[in-house]
Amino acid sequence: MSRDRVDAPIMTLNGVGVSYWRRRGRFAKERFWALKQIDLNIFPGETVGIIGKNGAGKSTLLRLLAGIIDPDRGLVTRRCRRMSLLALQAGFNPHLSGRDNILLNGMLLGRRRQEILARMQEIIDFAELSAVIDAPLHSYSTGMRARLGFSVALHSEPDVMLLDEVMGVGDAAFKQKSIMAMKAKIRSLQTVVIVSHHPQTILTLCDRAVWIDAGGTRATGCPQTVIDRYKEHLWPSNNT
Amino acid sequence: MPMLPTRARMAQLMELIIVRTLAEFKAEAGRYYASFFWWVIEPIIYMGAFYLIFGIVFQRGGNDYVPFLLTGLVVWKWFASTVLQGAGAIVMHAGLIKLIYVPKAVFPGTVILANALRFAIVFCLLALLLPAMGLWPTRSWLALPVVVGIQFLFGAGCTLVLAALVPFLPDLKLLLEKLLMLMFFLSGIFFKVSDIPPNWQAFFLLNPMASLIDSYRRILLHHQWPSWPSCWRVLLLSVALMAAGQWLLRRFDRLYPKVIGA
Repeated sequence: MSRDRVDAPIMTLNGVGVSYWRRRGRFAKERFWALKQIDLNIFPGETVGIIGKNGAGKSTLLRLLAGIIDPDRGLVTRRCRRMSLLALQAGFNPHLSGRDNILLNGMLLGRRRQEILARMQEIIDFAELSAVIDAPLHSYSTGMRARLGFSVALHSEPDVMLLDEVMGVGDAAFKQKSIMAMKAKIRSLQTVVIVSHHPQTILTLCDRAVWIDAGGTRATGCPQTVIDRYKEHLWPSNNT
Repeated sequence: MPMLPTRARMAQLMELIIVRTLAEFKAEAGRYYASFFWWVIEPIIYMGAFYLIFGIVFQRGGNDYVPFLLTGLVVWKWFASTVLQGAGAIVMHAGLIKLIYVPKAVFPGTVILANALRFAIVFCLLALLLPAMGLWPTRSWLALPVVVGIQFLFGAGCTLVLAALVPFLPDLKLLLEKLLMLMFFLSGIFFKVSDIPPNWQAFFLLNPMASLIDSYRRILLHHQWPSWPSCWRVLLLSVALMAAGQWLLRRFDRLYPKVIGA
């Protein structure tokens, strides 16, 4: 699956750090670095898997890549417009119809109104909701909402798609369908960054893996090599 | 959106504000039986209360007290609702801005647009009602778009600045509620500027809302032109506030997700 990387990176992170201020008492504050030193290149069309323990800084890294926050030190260079975290159902309004929610959610994910209207039917069909699409969202079941959110996100096609785990939604049949669709997207020319806890996800889907530990990049490269080092770090005794 | 040229980014921002505003109206209509009528009913209830106290109990209103009160209350309602809702607009969407990058001006922008449209409808009703009370349109009504425009900019300027600051200073929202209450009493909504001692009048009209309400009344009730110098003063202040608000929102655009609800 590896591709020749003749292109320049679509996004580059150079010695990037992100800090938060934590409150200590009423007035005192304490600075805490969620990301300390991250170096990362993302090339067009590739799928990068990010692995690491809880608290390693994966969520902060996703937010940084999505352009939600800025780094406090280091440099982020972007050569693309839309990098979205596939936040399912973000901005959904229960008092509006499914159709209106597709429009709002799609626009929040960075699409223009016309682009969404052009793909409206496709989005409705994928979610299998044509019968109820003009009913208000509060009349939908949880599964129906999840299907709608997934379908909009899948069709929003950002330049770089950021995923927090590859998850299916809905009942067993739709879960299968949504995972297949997501995997098809990942294997296409879409540039994808996946954050996952599961070594297997990274091994099967990614061209390259990055191991994040304690706010820094610990290893980068071929998924098998990186995952092996990660596992050895987690369970050192198993390999001896 | 971050790498788009400015014009395309502005177009996308405006489109999002318009679509969100229309969606809000739709949601409101589906949610409350009398959704829009609350906007008409509220100034009328207030008017009834003030008419009872000042017009009947204290016998101070004079002939045109009903249109006088209505003008002040409708105009005030527009300003106060915009500023109060707008101040909390970014904080209210804490969950959303932590998940997706959205230019933060979208949130106060939606409040500003939605309230301007609501005001437009209520104001048209008022304009239809005035002739029924013997106040027919005259040439001075030509100045109305200017005064409405200035008030729009003033409300928008205050809203942008407050929306930009409240995420850092949550107490500001509480302070604002008290300030609005104070301003309500100091903006001449239920009393005339001419009732104030003469040497205090100029001071009183430094309050932009007092001077705007006075302008509306000159036009609608007294068939006069507004006091242009005070209009331009408010306009200048509004433009400065809008520039400051936009600058702040852009400056802290990617900082808000870190400071809100931490």
